[in-house]
Amino acid sequence: MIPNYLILQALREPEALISLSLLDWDLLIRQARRANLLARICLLLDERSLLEQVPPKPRQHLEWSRVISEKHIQAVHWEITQIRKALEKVGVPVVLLKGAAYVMAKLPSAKGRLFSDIDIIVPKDSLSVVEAALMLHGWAATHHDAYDQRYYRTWMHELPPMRHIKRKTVIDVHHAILPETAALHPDSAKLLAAAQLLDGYDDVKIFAPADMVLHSAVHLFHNDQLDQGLRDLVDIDSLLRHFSKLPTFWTDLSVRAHELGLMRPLFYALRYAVHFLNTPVPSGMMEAIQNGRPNPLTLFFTDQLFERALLPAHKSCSDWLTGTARQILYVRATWLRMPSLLLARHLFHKAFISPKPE
Amino acid sequence: MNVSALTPSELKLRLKTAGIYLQTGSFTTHLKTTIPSVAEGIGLLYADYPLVEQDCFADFHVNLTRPRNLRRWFKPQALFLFDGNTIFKPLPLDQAFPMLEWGLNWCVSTHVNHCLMIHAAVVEKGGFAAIMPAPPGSGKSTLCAALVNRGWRLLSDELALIRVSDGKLIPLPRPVSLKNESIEIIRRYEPNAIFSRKVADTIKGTVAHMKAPADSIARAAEAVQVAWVIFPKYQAGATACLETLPQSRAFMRVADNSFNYSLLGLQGFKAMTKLIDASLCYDFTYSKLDDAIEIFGALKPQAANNNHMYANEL
Amino acid sequence: MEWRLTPSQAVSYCSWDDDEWVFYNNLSGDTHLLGSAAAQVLLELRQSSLNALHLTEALAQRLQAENVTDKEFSFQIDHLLNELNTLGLIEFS
Repeated sequence: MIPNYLILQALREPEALISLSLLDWDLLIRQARRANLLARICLLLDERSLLEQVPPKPRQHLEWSRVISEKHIQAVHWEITQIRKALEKVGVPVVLLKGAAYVMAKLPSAKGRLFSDIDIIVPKDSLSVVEAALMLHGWAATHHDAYDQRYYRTWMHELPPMRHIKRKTVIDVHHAILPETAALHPDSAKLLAAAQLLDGYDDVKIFAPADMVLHSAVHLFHNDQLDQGLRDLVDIDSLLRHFSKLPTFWTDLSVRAHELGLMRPLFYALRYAVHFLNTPVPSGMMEAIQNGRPNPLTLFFTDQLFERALLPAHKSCSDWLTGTARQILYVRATWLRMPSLLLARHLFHKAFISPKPE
Repeated sequence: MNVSALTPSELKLRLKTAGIYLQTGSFTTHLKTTIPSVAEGIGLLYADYPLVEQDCFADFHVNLTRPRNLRRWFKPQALFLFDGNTIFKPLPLDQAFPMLEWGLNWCVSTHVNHCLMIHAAVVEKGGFAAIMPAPPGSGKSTLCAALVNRGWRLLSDELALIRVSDGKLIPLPRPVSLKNESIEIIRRYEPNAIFSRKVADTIKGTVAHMKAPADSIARAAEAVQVAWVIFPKYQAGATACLETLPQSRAFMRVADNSFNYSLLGLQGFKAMTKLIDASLCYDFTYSKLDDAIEIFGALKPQAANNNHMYANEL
Repeated sequence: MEWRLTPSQAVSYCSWDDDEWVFYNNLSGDTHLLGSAAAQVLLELRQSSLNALHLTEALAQRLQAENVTDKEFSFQIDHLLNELNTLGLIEFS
């Protein structure tokens, strides 16, 4: 069903890469770079002691990208130290989301990850004190446009992104994992209540394993920017493989998905993780979340869309429908998060009023 | 086989269809273009560069093309694509060749990380390299063009690549970028130098590129020991003056002019320490190229262990 | 309360004369050009954590600062300590 793209082979079976021709390497490096997965492939080979067997030219590209991801990981650590300092007196524990959580918890999904920002979540009633404390320590709002400010504050699940004036780093402060307007309403209080202290810290938390997977699924399937789609799916795959070592993980996951009303995104996450990355999912699991399965027609169309849009935005992974698929998914993601009248207003504003760089 | 082995029409056709695999320094670029001025520029300035066999591994896949939009009928533009992605805003079609040069610099400066990369011109004589880091407007390219026309080997006009593993400088000789008055200054200084057509009104003013000497291109694989770090500054009417720069200051200024010092982390710090320790560091003010040539000719590498560096960890 | 080097940071440094020192902090990834007084503070704290008073005494010796008044000297050291704290190189705990 899914063509055997090199990037997928590399992620599923890194061992097989050592038999690639130079020409295959040329293409793989390009696909992986576009998907932001080059450093991850470098690390997958290195931990299998296979890096030395990669021909020198492509190996150099892999190693170049590893330098970048090492810098990103160092910077994330430093940034979190600064965030903790800024929020020291607020008295709200920082709950790290996504990449920042993977890095700090040393999860395998952190391997080779690149960052554009750090995401945290705090209780909604602490938003303004957190925002004030961050501003006091050098972070400033990025969206100065009055519409954007109102859009974020009224409809979104996060503050407008804040950038540190010296370090130029960006923090996204969330109070929920989906916008207020979205059809699904996972209860943030439940997610925060189950969050666990990070080993060795008394002020930093991360989501519980099942919640982490569910958030990752929500992020991927309700996101309007799918250019990181494959990277996000790799996160899910990597989390599932890692947490499946926990004795009750799979049961917890399906119970939690029911509880938070996140059956549909979990269904899609498992479906595409298995399709693309051969993620080992226990046989009973798909039945356990059948409630999340859409009707066959919807599923058919969704498959058509995601099978294209989850691949790297590289011409070697595109067919004539790919561009259309990405556009439909943009509208779909936005649709899922907003009621239709509001949607029309948002798209109208984005399309006609926002100044666009040429 | 060098680019010069193809006739202009063969080159043009090849660039339009399969593209060429061009070797510059240690990098292979797969280059395609449908724009005639780019093909001409390549035929002129890259004649002496090797072509690697078709369909091999390329470090960078580059395409200079014309955007498909309504504008092309009124104000033709050029687009630089890196592996199919737009990197820069389109520029007027007339600026396509300079755009290729800037784009190739971008390819190296945003990807290569086994070297400490400094925005600098580098020349070599007697087995030792002089790195000239400088912000735009300091006259580094003018000085570099003059030096390579007076017996110095061109290692690079824009990018000093210092290999982290051994501190050696890896040559990347490409055309020297000159702007505004410098173009005529160098033309008069060396009437035999070969230039691309002048392009006016770019973000850098009027620009033209000077062909790298054939000998520098042929010796692009020879890595070199760095002996000097010199910050040039053109100042009208000034007497040429070479002033010693404290090493710690030079360290910070070279880091400021580096593309990836910070990205390399501790490795970058160590490579920079080694580079600065091995080099004599100077500020250099000049106005006349002949004076500069004379002073550069008299440079001597430092005697071994002349420096008293201590390096340690807390 | 004492000043100490930020735990788990590995700072590398180099210098070619006694006046200026280049420090690299692996945690922030930043490089700093420090004067000799700041460098001596860091070298002193490498031995042991100290309160500001003891630190000032130790530094007066290292820097041979007899011709500076005590008050001015400790004012300068205080300022320096705050700067180094802002850079993340040392902390007060």
